Amino acid sequence: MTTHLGEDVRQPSKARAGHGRRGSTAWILQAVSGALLVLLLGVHIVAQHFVAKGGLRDFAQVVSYIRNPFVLVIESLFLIVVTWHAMLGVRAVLFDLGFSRRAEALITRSLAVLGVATAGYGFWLIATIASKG
Amino acid sequence: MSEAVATAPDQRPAAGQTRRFVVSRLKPGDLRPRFDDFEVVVADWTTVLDVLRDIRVHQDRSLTLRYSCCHASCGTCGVRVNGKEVLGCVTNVAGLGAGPIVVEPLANTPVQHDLVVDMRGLYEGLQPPQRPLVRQSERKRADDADRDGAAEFVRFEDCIECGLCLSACPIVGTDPRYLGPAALAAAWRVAQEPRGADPAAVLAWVDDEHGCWRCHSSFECSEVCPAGVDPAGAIMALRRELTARKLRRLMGLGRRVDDE
Amino acid sequence: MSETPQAGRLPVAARRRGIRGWVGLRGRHLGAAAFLMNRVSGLLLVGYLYLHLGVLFLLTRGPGSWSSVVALFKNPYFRGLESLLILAILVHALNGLRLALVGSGVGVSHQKVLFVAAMSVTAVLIAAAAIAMFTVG
Repeated sequence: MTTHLGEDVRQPSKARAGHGRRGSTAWILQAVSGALLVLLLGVHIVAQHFVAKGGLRDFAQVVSYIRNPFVLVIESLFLIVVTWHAMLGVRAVLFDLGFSRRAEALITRSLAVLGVATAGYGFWLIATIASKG
Repeated sequence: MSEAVATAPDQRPAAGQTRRFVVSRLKPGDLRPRFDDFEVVVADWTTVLDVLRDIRVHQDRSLTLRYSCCHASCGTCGVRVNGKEVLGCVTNVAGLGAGPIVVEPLANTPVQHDLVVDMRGLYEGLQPPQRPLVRQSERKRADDADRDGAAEFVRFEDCIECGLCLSACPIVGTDPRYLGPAALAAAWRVAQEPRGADPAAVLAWVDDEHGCWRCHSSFECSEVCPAGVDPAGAIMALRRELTARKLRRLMGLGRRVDDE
Repeated sequence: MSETPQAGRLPVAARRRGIRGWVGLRGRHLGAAAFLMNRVSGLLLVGYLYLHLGVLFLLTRGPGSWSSVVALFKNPYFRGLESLLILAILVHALNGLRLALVGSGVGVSHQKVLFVAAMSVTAVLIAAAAIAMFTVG
């Protein structure tokens, strides 16, 4: 339906197939990833700022830290969740601007690519640092 | 501008205070509004609507505004006063604090003349849910005080279709596809009181990224609503309902939201 | 009713407040302030994410590059910036928890109290973090 202002408004219809994702997926993922981050980011900040003597870790301390398998798992999880939450957040802000459905699909795809690239770079960092020293 | 006294038709204040009103003006053909200053003497009981009517009668005939019932029932006189959406007829000038009082039309919809805005966006948004106008579910609530000894009364819908919520919502301000608080609150009313019809179509309608999930909980709609609709609460209730139905469906207990 | 004169001439965006409606707090209330704070802190943190990932690249260059960066970060000016970063994180996280709750329909009628609580906890934690930040090492 197009309003008198030329704006596109959906109408209720029982003809919706209801397959695939609904409007709630992005919102729920954002909330859940955010809740996880309260824990993961808290751990990350404390570990990086307040554990090593002197606060920040020097090079050798970083390497030994990241080589710890438990740490590796936690930091990897943190990397994925924070990147996902960040991409979802940017997507939410952009979607608030009311772009067309096509533009929104493009935004979602682009941010997905950016997110994978970001996390990929992060994993490359982890692998490279862990192999040094 | 000559001073004038804001009056109700048959009352004049014995004494008053002069206040400065800065009113937005825009006529057909103008690309952006300008502001005109008016000085008006007001009494304790003077409302913003009284002032605007008085300006029109005594100072500037060309000031255009809308009003009807003058007691917050019709939802016609919505304006922004010092940035906040209010019904002018029940906004007491004395309660607005010191300094000039800025009066602007409602936001997020085209301005037609001065303080008169195009309300069709609101009305068109309210059509799809087909909200019933008289509640069957609230004949008389137990906690309602006796209205002049009435044994029972029927409660009409809270929403007076004033459009204040749409003006206040930050997302309506940027997203033309967002259904908005008024339509979503109406959808919730239909879900609460389907009257034998299946609310599934309306629930499927709001279950969209630009439906009830677009809201970012600023709560401005509920803050400015003069009729107690609480659209923000309705939006959260819709989310709860949709999530509950989804969970029931996942567990195989319920029908899909949009099943025939 | 005659057609709105401006409707045909102005683009859709001009009829709505746009981003001014996010930022302008005159006449607005706590919830709108919370919305703005989360938005601003979130976008700043996205920027920081990339800045941080960029800085971490120095770790791949070996101990020398990294130790000069660490020395820089121990500079009081940078400790101040890091404290602001933690403030942004706390505001976004604690208000974010409120949004997750309220946005799911839990505690909706207490949304203002929850905001005040979130900001109070933020105040306490940022004070502790700032003290720790400036006294460690």
